[in-house]
Amino acid sequence: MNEPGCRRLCLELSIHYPYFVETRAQREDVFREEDIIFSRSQKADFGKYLSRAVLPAMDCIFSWLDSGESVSLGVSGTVIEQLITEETDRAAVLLDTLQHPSVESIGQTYYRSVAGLFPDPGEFIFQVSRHADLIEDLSGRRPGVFEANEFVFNSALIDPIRDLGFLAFYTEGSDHLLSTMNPNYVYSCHNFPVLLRNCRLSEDIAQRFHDHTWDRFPLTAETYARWVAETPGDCIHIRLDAGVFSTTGDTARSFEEFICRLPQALHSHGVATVLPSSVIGDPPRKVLHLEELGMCAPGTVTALTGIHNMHQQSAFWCLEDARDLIIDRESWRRLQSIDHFARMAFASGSCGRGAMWSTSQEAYDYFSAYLRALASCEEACRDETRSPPAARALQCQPPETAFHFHSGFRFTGYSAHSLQEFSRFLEFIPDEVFQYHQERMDFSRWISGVLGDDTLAGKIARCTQSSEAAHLVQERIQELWDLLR
Amino acid sequence: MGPLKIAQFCWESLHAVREGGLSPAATHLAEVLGTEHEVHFFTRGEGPDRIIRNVAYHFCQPEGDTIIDYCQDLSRKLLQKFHDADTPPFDIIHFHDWHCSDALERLQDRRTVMSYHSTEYGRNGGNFGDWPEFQAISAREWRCGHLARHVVTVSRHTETEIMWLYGIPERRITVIPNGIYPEHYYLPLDPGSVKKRYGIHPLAPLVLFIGRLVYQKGPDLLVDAIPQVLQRRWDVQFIIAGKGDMKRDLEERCRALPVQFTGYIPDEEYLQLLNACDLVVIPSRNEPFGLVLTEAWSAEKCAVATDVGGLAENIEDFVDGIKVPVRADSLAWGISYIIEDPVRIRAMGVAGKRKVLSRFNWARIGRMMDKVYTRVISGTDDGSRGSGR
Repeated sequence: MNEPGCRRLCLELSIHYPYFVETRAQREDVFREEDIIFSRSQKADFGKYLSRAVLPAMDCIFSWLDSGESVSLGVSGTVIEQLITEETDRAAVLLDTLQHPSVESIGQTYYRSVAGLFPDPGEFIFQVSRHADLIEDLSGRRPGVFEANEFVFNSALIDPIRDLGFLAFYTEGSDHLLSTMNPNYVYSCHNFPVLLRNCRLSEDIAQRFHDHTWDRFPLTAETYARWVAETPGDCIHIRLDAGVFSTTGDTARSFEEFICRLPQALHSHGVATVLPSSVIGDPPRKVLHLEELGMCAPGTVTALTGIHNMHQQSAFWCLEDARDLIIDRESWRRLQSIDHFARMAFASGSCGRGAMWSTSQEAYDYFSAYLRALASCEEACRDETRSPPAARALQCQPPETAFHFHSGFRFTGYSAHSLQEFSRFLEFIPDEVFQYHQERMDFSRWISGVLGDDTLAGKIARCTQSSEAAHLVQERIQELWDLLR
Repeated sequence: MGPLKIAQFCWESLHAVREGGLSPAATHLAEVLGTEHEVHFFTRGEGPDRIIRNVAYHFCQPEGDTIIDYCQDLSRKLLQKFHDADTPPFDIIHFHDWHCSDALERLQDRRTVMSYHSTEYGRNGGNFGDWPEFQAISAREWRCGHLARHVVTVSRHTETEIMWLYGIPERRITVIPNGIYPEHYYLPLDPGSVKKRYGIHPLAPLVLFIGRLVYQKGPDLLVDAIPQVLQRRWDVQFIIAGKGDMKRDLEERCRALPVQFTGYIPDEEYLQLLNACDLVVIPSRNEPFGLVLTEAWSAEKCAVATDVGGLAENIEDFVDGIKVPVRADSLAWGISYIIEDPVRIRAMGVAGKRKVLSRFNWARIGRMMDKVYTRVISGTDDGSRGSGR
């Protein structure tokens, strides 16, 4: 027997704009210009994002609210703080909306960050609490549903989320991963309700709506409402990133018209719009293991998390180490945004976000700029640490000062952007690579010249095996951290 | 019909001499038939005859200066073994490929089945050859197809090929694909730890080629594609596993590229690599079936393959793999396209696994072969086209 179609739909509008790093900065700029880490055009770019994406999106949301529909809003802390500090008129519009009785705010990490990937959940808890506090201050209501972005979540974070007062959490039900699971039901993980976004229906609007080659183009509100009504399940959860409203001309008009007409079309098919908190009481269909969705376990960052290439991995490791090297916590947290890592990928955007494609060069350029920004922050804080020489040895290195492993015939494909990463690579570099560099004294020259650690450089010069060198470096890293902490 | 007494002639097996994809195909077929019938397997190998997994193996060690002489001696020695075991007489005598063609000739009055796992034309990359061995082998293949009571091919492509090459009528041919035991190829492991053993970064995308390094398998096309892949995605690493006469030349061309040639690797290492890689590439110029494809799917790996033969038939494009024309730039496009999408690449691998479980399981293949034997024994095979698809 066929399952009945959905009669409820939750629409979330997601609004987020991070602090991007300055991609045109050179390493020496740091010493000339104070505010070089984050984009020089941040304010102007944020203004464009507001006027081109957020305000058109809000117009559509108002039309929904005026006709009695319900909408949830996922607004990051970084957007709200930029609105409050720089765009007071526009802030009022958004803040008024947060207080609307038919609007529910969704909880998230304040910086929409990768903090959920750190082995220690402390930073994650801090950012979630900070965001929830901010929303409560602005709307008078604390978010009840938490959203895990870009798979950056794992089962171990369920208990902290529950302890923070959340009643359920959202994650992404990509049908690539959920081949046998229907995302349109409530599930349960560690006795905690899990809501899955319907990625296919989200992407129909966010990615395929404007695609002239799509066999369903042009998509009308009537067609979409019919799909919703015919889709088996209890409730469909759609997410739309405000960025998808960022179109111009006739395209923008047709898109806004589609969104504005959707409630009426949904009603004609017997589908009502609801808030996520009204759904979480549904009996769970089955117990879900987040690892099945590609969620990572602590300490193992897998290919299906937000970290899926080696540059992202290097950047994440450097960011993790920077916790004790950057005393300016605000900058460190801004550098945790998922968007930085998305820009180091060749392709990103899914489940309601617009697709973004980068060339290898663009991804590499952002990775380089990111490490440069991280290194600048670390250098700026170095003199305030307990041991500046130890901080220098442990800090991250942008590509121009990283150690690039070579076999004599070719680049191996990986570079050490910190002493810690260097020790990780020593564990598996082929013997010929170790011998090639050791014969040229490359290791000791890099450790002495770039990291400034003559003690370690002297010891490494005498090593005959990579495992021996890895052991020495690990020991030294521990000594250096002991000097700093 | 009760249990049959079946003879299988094949010059290789998993339990003695192993050359390529023919040995698992023939050995596993014998084993699955052995669960219901009395199966004897006549093949090359050392040591005394023995029973392994319900199949009686009869070994011989042929000699000969040329491949033709060698195979004539193989037929002669296996026939001796066959006659020793032919009491009571075998109900069905099944030959795999041309190597035992002389034995088939001698046994042409019995109930015989000839399986084409490939053709000499296909092994030569879809080209005719004018050298004596090519002609001698092709002649034997032609003769086998006409002498046998019924013919089996591993794909429609091979069916068409032997109809065209050797004039074998369609009604005498049944297509039965190779089966696979997917559980033999799936290994839950941490891909990063395997990559590290090869000096590869755990998050570097790894593309695997496994197969003989010969013209038919197209490793040179892959090597030509690699620089184009690297232009779009610099961090991709390649492992080319297998041996063959093209190895030295290919290694020379790849000196400055992120490519490792492992040569022959034992099964255990193959399983580790298969399960650790991100993508399997099958750049064959001609592929009657493409066992590597079902092995990749068993390990839930997506494949980029050339749009030829059994690969073209079995892959549903952009659902469980990507098919490309037999060109280096097309291969490069296919690899670059899918390697950038880790979610989709995984989804295609899982879709392939589902197909393996439903279409290529040995129990099903065994039943299909049973039907062919039944028709041969009942003498109804000449009147109608095979239906065991």
